[in-house]
Amino acid sequence: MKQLILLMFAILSVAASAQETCSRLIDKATPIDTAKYKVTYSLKYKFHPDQQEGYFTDTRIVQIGKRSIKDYSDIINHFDSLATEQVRRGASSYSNVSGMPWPVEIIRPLRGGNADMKYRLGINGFFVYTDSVPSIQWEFSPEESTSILGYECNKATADFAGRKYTAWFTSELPLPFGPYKFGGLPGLILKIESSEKQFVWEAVGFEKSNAPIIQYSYQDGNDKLCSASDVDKTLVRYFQSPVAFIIASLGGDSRRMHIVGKDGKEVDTTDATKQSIPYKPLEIR
Amino acid sequence: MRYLNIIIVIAFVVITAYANARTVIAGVVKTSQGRGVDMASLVVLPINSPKQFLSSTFTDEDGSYILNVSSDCDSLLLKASSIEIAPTTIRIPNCSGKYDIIVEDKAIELKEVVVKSKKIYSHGDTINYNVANFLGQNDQALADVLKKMPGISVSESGQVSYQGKPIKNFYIEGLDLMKGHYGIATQNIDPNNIATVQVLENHQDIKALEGLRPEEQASINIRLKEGVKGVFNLIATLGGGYGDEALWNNSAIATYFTRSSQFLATYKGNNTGEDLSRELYSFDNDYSRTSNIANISMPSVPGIDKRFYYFNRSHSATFNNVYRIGKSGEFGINAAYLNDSDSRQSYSNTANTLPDGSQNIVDELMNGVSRTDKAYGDLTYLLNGDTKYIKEQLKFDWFSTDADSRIFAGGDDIVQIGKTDEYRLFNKFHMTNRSSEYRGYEIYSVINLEKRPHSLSVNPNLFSELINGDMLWQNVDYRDLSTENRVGLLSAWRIGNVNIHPTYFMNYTHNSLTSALSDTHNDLYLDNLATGISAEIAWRYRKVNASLYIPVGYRFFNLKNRLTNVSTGKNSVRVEPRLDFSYKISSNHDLSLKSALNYSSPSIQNLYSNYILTSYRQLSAYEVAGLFEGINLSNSLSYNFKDLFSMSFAGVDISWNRQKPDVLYGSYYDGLVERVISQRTNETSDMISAIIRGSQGFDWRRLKIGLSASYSCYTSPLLVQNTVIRYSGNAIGVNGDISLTPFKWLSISYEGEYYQSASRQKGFDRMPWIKTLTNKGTLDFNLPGGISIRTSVYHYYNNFNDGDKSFILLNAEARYSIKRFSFKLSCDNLLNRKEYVYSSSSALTESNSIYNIRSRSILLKIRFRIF
Repeated sequence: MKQLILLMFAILSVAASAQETCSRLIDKATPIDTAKYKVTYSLKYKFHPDQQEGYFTDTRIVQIGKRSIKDYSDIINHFDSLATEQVRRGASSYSNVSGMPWPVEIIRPLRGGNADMKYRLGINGFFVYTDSVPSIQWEFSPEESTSILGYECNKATADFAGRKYTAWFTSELPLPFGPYKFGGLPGLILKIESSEKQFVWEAVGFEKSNAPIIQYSYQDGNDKLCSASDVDKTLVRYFQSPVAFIIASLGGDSRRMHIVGKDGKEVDTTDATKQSIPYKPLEIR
Repeated sequence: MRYLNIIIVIAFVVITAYANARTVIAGVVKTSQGRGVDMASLVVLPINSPKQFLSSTFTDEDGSYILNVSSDCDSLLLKASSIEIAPTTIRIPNCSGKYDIIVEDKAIELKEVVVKSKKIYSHGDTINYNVANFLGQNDQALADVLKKMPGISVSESGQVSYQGKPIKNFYIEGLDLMKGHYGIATQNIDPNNIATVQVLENHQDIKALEGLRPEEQASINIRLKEGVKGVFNLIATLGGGYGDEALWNNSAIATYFTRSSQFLATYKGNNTGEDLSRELYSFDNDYSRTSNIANISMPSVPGIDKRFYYFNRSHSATFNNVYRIGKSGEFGINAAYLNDSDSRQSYSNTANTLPDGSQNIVDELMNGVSRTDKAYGDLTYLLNGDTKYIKEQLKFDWFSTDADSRIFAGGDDIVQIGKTDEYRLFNKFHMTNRSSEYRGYEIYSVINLEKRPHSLSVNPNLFSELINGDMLWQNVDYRDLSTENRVGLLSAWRIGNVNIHPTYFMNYTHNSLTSALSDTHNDLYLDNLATGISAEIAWRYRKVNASLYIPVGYRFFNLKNRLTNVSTGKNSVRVEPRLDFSYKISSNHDLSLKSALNYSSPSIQNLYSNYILTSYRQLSAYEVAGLFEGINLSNSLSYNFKDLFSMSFAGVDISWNRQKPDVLYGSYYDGLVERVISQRTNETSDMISAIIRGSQGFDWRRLKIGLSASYSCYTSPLLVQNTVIRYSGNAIGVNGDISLTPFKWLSISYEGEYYQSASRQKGFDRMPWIKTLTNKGTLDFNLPGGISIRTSVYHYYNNFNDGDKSFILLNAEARYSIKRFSFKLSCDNLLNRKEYVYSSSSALTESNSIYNIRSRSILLKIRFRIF
């Protein structure tokens, strides 16, 4: 498909804009399970703990079914659905994702095993990979409790993938799950954050559900099947120079890309390629 | 065999030793029918501290589990729970073993927390307010809902502000239907028809200038619900009641909104104190260029809600229509007519402090009626393409007022009759053509034609020593022909991040003034030409916008007195620089700084040399008849903060203004009468003000809190009795508003304002602080059966009042809706107060007034949808 790629971003706020997530047109929706519960989390995250711009935010939905758990961005899902509908109605262009939702989607079995992961990287499509879901050894802090959404919560801490996490779980909801790969506590995790607060999930809603858990496939399938370590390496390379990465993925022809700053003027691609984004992955392996 | 015994003993010792440190618990969680429970959570708790988790695990699909525990307790609690079973706890000894738990099948009742749609969310520079989250059962107009949205405020006049700054445009579904008269829309569109209110921050409404010229004012766009579009609505209200006389209040509102055209027409009529002129205000800056030189003295209005003191008979009709033409064009027609009669009665006592510290005191008992007719008609064509913008607007305004009043003052019984007519034709043309990314041109032209003949007659003549006759009869005509023109290049030169926009400007004003008072006449005109070039140097880098605007102009003034045939001219070259700087620190914080220097122009209102009766007791003529200009310097700094996730909006504004007039105008008091005097001066006046404001929305009970505090101080010269005195003053103001829905059946809203000020004449003691407090509270009760009751209390406090410093008014109303009918029974001024006493103090003038207010009244209104 011929594409004129026009990236709108102010070159010195690369972190805020370069990783802009694109809407994708939904090709096929396959129900894989029925959700019994739906947990809504607000996620605050940074690419790096020292990120100056403050947090990016997302609304995450965790669907808990009979066999599977799906954790996805409600914002990305909304814009994908919107774009698909617009194109179905005959639009030649469509709405793009607004804000900086976390571009990760996880479908995992209730018990251990491996998770099916998707990482949506700007205009470059998806990385599709499987990744292990380790069992987490939690330590309980009996003295500390708090209330989240009106549920009495207890504190537990654990090390996971090179970081220390603090979780608040509630025995009032005896569901051993949480966002991302977290779980294994005697109650639903309502809040969890890494020690340097680079990632902070907090539940904002809990509902019973009867909605299907859907696995989507998308049009223009330039999804890349790869391993988790390939993804880690590629992301490091991407954040070192997002612009160079995009140019490389377009076949190295920088003339195909025009970068327009927020002030409306074109930015020199050579300058743009020198910009990097400080990045520390969620899982440090 | 011997060896085997030894091994068993060793193994037992090891196992026992290990078991002392760790207990291994295993077993099955199963129902009484023997079915293993999958995914049940198991926790081990010490017997002496049943909240401390020692260990936890989950059952496998067959219900089996295994746990390791390390504890000193003799006994442990083993608790099994899952969504499908009743939580079950058993007590076990702290030793390894197999422990099965029999549980009861019972789905536990889960408390759900349903996520509501967000009240406010953003999409780029657009902030969306979900109307459903702010709407109350008793809200009938859009303005009622806008007031509850954090960051947005609506003034008494209906002007909508975002973050303390008035909005620029008001769109409905992206079309500018109202053209500045948006009060008609905010007061008449049913908020139940609106899905979203969008605030477009930094919205450059001219597409051809997008990315080239920053815009600091926000605009508002109203998104309608889907079912409302393409449906013709006609809603009528009929109302009747009784107060001191029979009361009526009727209206009809027709709306039709589609993608290609929009229509809003209204008729309203009442004698119940509802001010209809307020809706017709234009918030465009196309102000009238003339004003009355002679004014009939009418009782000045008190600072309370107008519905309490407005004895009116008003009718208004408006017609607003806009059509889309092609992809980016639109054509709009806006017209309105107002007929209004206003009766007022008051007693006032005004004291002016004189240079020797003594006071000149005037007592007035006034009774007046004014009848006003007003009409406007605007035609607007707009083409707003990506590269080309054209706006052509033709406006016609007509205003006629006929007033008479009777005054008892200084032992005289004075009768006045005043009449004013104003006709105005205004044309605005604005074109922008962008030929490339930075290139293009802009043409802007305004022509204003205006005449304002007005008359004032007063009997008896209070100035018999100066003007002959027992009564005074005066005619004044003030006319204006003015044009402002600019032609500029969007960006002629570009050096790095700096753009330079040169503009040629030519402004010309011709004002004429004629007056006849007995045998005293004035006939003069003033021409004012300003022409030159300006350069705007704009620097944009990252999040910083800075622009320096430097107009260099030649100014020419010519004053001609046709009676004496004497002309006075003046030429000068003036530079009036302006600096704007803004820094968008992040999406949450921004900072802006402005500074400007300009010269005030001489005005024909201060240049006539023969007497004009400016009010029944004020005679004016200007002895220092020269073409004087003053210098004004203004500086301001403002900081804004917003956080949509926490629904927080806040800001600080600080400003400093300095004025250096060449001439001072003042008053010479002589008992009841007053003459205007003038004198050359080198004095300056300064004013510093600071406002800090915040607005916070909460998900909890729809709470919104708005708060602002302001401080200002000034020092200024004042000409009194031919002496220049200096006076200074301070003022402190605090405003607050709260809206809250603590229960489904109750909503509360409150608005409060505290103000205190004092002035001081140099060399004398400070005058006492005047302190005023206004509290307005409303309680809405939603009762079963669709009945709602609203009670409102208004409290006014003024420490200068004699006797009772507080004044309370109460209103109540009940509403009931059934199908397409809605009934409202209201009772205003329940306490049946007859008079409002109030005091004011400013610039060494104090006044105390008693104003008649509307007595208790009852009104039944029926609102129904015809279509």
